Amino acid sequence: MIKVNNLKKYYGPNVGLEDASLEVKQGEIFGFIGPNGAGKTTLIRILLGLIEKTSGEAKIFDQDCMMDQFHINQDVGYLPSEANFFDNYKVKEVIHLYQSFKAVDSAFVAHIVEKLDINLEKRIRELSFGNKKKIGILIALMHTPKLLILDEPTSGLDPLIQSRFLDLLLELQKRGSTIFLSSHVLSEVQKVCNRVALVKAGQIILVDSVENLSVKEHKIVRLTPAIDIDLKGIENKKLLNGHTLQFEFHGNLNDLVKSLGAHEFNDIVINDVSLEDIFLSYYESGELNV
Amino acid sequence: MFKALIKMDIRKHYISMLLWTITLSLLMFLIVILYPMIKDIYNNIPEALLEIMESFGGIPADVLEYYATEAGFLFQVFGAIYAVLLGYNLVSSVEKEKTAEVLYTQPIPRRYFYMSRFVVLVSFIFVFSLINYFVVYIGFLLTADTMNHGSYLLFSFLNFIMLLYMGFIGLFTAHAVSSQTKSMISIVFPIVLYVVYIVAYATNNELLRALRYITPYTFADPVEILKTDFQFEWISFSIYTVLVIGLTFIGYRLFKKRVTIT
Repeated sequence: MIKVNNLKKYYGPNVGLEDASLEVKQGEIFGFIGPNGAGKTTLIRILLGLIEKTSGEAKIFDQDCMMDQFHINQDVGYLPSEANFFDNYKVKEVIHLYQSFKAVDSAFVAHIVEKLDINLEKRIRELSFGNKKKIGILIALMHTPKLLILDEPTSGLDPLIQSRFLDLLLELQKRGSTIFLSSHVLSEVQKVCNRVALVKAGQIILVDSVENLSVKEHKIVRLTPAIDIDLKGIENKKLLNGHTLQFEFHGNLNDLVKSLGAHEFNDIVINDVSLEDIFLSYYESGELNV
Repeated sequence: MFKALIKMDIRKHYISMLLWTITLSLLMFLIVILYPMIKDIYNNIPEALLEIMESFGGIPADVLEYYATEAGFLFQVFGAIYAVLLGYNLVSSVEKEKTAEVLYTQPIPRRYFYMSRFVVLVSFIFVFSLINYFVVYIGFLLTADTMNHGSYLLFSFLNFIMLLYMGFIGLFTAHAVSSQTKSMISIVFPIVLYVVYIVAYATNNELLRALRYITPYTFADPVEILKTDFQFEWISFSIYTVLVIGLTFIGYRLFKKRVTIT
């Protein structure tokens, strides 16, 4: 669906993307994760033909992404990180305008309007950033595109609407859409994405399935005094300050609690190492060492 | 789809068009209806002063000559400023408001955007010229002075063509500069070209006089058309016709490759 090979983009001497390569398969939700300025939006804009690449290959539906890509745009829905529409239009007028550009399922539009709680009578200039974003989502999704490209889609949305929006993405996936979304909100990526790519300073440093990465989630346990526990799933034991034992635990928490219950401790600390910590470790060191 | 784009552009720009049209038409109207009063003043001018005035083209013989010398140039300069701003803003407003990012990723061929702006530009300048034509004509009627309607019609038509060319220059300029460039850059053209026009007509130097061919004001000169024996300035008209056709094609090529996001 999307193929990117050795893609480079320079803004003068500054690197936007450096040898980026990834492939998004049909029907999957692919998360593109990275901090601000990492190159997420640059890649998205190259894919949409909004900016020109310096070198390399960027393809959608096996067609080269470039300026004036009318044919590709017919099957793509796009939400920019900052969605702007004409200030003096009412929301319903914006919807009507964009409906005239593409074949739209009116029932699905009504469904999105209801699900995202969109007020059709307000003027665009009266809307907050989050409410404009909802209009942007509607415009991107309204024609149930084969490929949906979303840049920071949940920023500015309240938690309830975020959750409903993620449900909408899963609904679209069931209808056969492929979704490519950039984000730095890892919880949403974990909730909906099948695979993720991590981008740092214009370079893609990891592409893996969320399932594989979730396996790496574990607990860090610290026991004082340092009583040795023998249980399946305990790894990397370390003695801290001579009287505290620290280890990683990859297993059932109930088994751990039962084992700990057989001993007396002054202090027990159990910390989560979430997907977020795993990603942060990547950003900081470029390898898995959490 | 094409109609929707035209409607969208009309809706975005019609208020500024109406404001420019009403303001400039009323200004022209006021200048024209003052003619009977000005005529009385002219009739009471002392002989000595009249002789001095003769060396500057003399006293206007009728309301049309008065319009040519006192109002026509204002309409040309301000009309040209409006036309380049309109051409420029048709392209740049969607980029500055950042509505282009979603708009340009819709399944719309880029030529449709270009053509719709072309249509809106021609239509707005036509309406602008037409309203002005009628408002000033009402002014002429109110003065009850004799006038050659054919000359006025010809001036209005050639002025419309000149404004159209200015609009196309504005449209091209918007494609040639970065999306963040302020629209004020476009008004450099009508102002500089008007200064060139004034210099060309104010001098006796043959070389400087030849500058009149590089300004579009020459082929729509109100004094030439309304006051003296009119001879159409083919050279200036041809230069600008070829230039505008060339810029229109180059502008389209630039638009197809245009990076609208910064």
